[in-house]
Amino acid sequence: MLLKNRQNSQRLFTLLSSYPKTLLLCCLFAAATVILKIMSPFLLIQLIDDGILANHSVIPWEPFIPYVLVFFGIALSGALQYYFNNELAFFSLRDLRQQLFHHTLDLRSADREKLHKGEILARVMVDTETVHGLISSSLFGLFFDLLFLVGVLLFLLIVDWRLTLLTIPTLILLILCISQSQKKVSSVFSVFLQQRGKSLSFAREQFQGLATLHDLEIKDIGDQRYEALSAAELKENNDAVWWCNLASTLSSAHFLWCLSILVAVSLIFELSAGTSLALFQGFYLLHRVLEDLTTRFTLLSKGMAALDRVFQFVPEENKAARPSHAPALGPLRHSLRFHNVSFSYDQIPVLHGVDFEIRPGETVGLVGLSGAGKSTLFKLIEGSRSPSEGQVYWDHKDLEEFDKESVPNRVASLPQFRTELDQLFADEALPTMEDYLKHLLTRQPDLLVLDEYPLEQGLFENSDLKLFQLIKNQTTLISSHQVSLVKQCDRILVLEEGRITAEGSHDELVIGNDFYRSLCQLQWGAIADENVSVAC
Amino acid sequence: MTHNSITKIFATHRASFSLGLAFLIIYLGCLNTVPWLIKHAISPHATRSSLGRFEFFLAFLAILILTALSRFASHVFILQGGRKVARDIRVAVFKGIVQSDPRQQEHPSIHSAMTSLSSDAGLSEALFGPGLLYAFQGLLWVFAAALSMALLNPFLILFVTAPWLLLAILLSHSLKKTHGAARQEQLAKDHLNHDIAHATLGRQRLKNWGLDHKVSQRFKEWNENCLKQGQIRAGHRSRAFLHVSLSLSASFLALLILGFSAIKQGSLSVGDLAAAFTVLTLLFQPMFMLAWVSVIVSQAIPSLKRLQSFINPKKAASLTELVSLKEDESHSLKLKEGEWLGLTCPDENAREICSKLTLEAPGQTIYLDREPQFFSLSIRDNLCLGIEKIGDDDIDAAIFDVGLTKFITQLQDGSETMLGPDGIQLSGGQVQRLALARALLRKPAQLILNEGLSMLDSKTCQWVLQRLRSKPNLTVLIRSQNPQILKFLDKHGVYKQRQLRVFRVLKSGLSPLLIPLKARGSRSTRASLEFVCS
Repeated sequence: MLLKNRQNSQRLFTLLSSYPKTLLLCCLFAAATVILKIMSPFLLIQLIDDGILANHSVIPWEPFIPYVLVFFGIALSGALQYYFNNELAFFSLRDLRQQLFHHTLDLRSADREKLHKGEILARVMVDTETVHGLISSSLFGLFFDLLFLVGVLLFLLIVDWRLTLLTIPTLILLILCISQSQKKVSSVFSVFLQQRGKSLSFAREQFQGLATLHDLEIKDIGDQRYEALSAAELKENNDAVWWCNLASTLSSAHFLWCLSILVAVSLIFELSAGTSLALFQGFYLLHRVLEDLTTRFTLLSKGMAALDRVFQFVPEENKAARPSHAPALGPLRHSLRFHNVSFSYDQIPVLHGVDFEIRPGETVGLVGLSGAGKSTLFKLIEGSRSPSEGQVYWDHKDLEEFDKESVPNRVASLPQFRTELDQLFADEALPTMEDYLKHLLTRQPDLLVLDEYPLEQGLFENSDLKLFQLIKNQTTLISSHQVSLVKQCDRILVLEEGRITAEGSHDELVIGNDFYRSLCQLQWGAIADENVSVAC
Repeated sequence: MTHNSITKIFATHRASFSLGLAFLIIYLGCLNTVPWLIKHAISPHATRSSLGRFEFFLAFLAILILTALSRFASHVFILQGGRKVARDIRVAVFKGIVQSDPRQQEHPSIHSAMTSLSSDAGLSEALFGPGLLYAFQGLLWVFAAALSMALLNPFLILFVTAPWLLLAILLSHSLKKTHGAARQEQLAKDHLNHDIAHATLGRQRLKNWGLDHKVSQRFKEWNENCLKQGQIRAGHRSRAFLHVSLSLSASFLALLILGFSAIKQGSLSVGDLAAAFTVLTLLFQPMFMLAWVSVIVSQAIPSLKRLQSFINPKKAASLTELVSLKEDESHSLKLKEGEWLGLTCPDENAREICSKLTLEAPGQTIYLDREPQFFSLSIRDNLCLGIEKIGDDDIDAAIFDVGLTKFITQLQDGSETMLGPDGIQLSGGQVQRLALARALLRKPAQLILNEGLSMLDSKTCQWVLQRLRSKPNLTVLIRSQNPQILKFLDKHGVYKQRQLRVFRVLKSGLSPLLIPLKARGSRSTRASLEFVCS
């Protein structure tokens, strides 16, 4: 079960071995604790039978000294093992989170759109914490317990080999029980984690759309769905815990079973008080180990299920970090040119054979109806999508041949929604779009693309004039459905249903293009009809 | 109790907890007969006891079966009860958050809400499940242990109570620190949630905006912070572990030294000592349990407080009085049924002004802003969200009004097409129009469009405005930067210097470029608005 996914185990080991010192200390103290614990019953025999119950007139102190040392040794090394174990788990938790975060950042946009944000959240926050549990308590606990089990059996073997034989049938029963329940537990847990991811996704979506739900006065629309989701989550969780409870009860019963045998044995063989007590302690330790083992296995299955989800999401290190041999994008010297570019989303065509060119220093406007493909065109320039057909040339070289990572060094853009910015600057003084644009311009991008630049003040503030003062001499592509914003551009492209149907200055287009003129008329009404040049 | 609603939730599941407790008592009762049996076996008179070996063995087996069964039952009931309580708390938190107004200051950010649903609720599960179980078990066990020690020999009680006292002193010392760390960790997790939401925007896009470094850096900082707080918590746990081990070790040692002195003096039998030894050995477990519980409690208290505040959100203070509308001014804004009012005001006051301008007509008012949200449902289900009965004709009519008929029919699954991650992505204008269709299906008396049509192109906008204007009883308050809306308006309000002035639009189509044109020297438009309020 542990090796079901060998690759994952290997990756887990790689994760842990990045902290070799902590790992080593952790193992060292675990081994020390085990050895000291096994020693204690032996010392007990000696202490009681030879030291105390022997006919001394005064109780001697010497036999107590090793016993005291062992006891305090157990406490100390146990606590230290626990400490280093936790350190290791916390380091791994941090690293896993970091990996997941960077992977989320690097997701291809097509993959990203298919993923629920809540699902990513569940993986980064919930699953990694389960993996933390796996490392902090089950993985080393398991190692510790197995070591311990061997030790205890060895102890029983030394005291009386027949006792070891007596424990064998119960041990076999227990192992069968554990292995049976673990199969069940691991499958139930992976379903449970998926279920939790689902309910978190749903909650996130509801919280995000809360303003909408309030405006429509249907706040409790999601309650039932969430209740159903959490009921499903609860059911899976209960199933899993039922099985682990069964296993740990069996191990607990095993202890009593061994104890009853011990009592019978001590009665039959008339063992000495010291040996009886030592044996009792030995069995008690055995019981602790077995009960722990079942819990550890449960946590292990849970942790492995979580690890599986985390690693499914994050590709192997070496694959992710493949160095890009493609050259970085250089400064724009000649032109950015679209050559016969077509693009479709899942077979829904958006752009058809788009041809145009932007030269350095130019301000180019792009107008078109909503859904005409303006934003898609921008995505192709920003490098987040690739054309289905045709090429985008950056200085006569296909953009696809460059390292996509380097595109943002040359091309700058603004978020389309103000709220996206608001969230990014949540805990700071909020910049206005204009401030933000100024900040972006200090990076001196080769090309600035503004998709639907939101005019904040609206009609009465001449914010379009301000914008054009800002981007003077800056190579810029601006899209808008408002003619007022693009009319000052050097050139305006008209995009209709995925095709560039006209190109020219505002004055040329008002006269020469019906579509553009109709846009102007709609926006300026009568004025546009009477005297276009005055109004605009 | 401060945790009122959580206590209530807990009370609804009390049956399962009391059953669990009953089984726990049986379990511990059975388990604590073990020292007596050991005493019996060890005592020198055991072989001559009236209880034969066979019967003795049988008694042990019977206890064994009873112990196992009651242990299983108690764990099932209490752990399940704990999970149920946690589930109910989660649902209550969800409902509480959904009920609270997202535009009020007291409203939790989506990130802290998500941390609460995952991390805080997880802690409450740990607290009410294993936490409660271990607390019950630990406390009962102490009681049982003290009782058996007292029955064996009053002298022995000391060895049970001393380690507890020691543990209590040691633990209380380091608990306060954990409490603070838990709070800090909660905050760090909120921030992590926040940054993950940004990571989903993608590196490429964030880089284009020049922000990827900022986001990565912040995530790293909070991740480190989270680690630090976790380490404090873990440090406390390992200290607790050490305390338990030390106090028990000391107790063992004292038992051995003092116990054997007592044996030598004849005031204690070997059997008594063996039994006491057993009791103390068994005590390891509940002591660890209680130490663990103390850690969980200190960690869970901030979480429970937060969950509680989400279940019963505080009433937010009323919106700050940014707009100083005089009584008569706001009355003058009583629009007649079917009247349209345009609004010009800065972005940051828009929502507030819109909510102040109560358009006092009976019926529903629907507010639409620039970025409406849709859910991962089909287009149809999104439109009909919360409406019980609706005809296909109504849906088609609403889709037609917003000019999406062509778009939707060309989709393979039509209006059954899924939106969101499992379905299609809509463009900004399509989202706004779909939101308008969703609003229209509810047959509102008033519609507030705060830049609600901002991403529509002129042609579509024209169509939509015409369709809206053709609805005779619909009152509309519209804020837009698009000049083309003005010819549809009856009145226009301009908010400046904390004052709202309302103009009557006299001649359709002439008003839009009021200020820009004025600035550029055109006189014709100034006459198009008549000032109606001072």
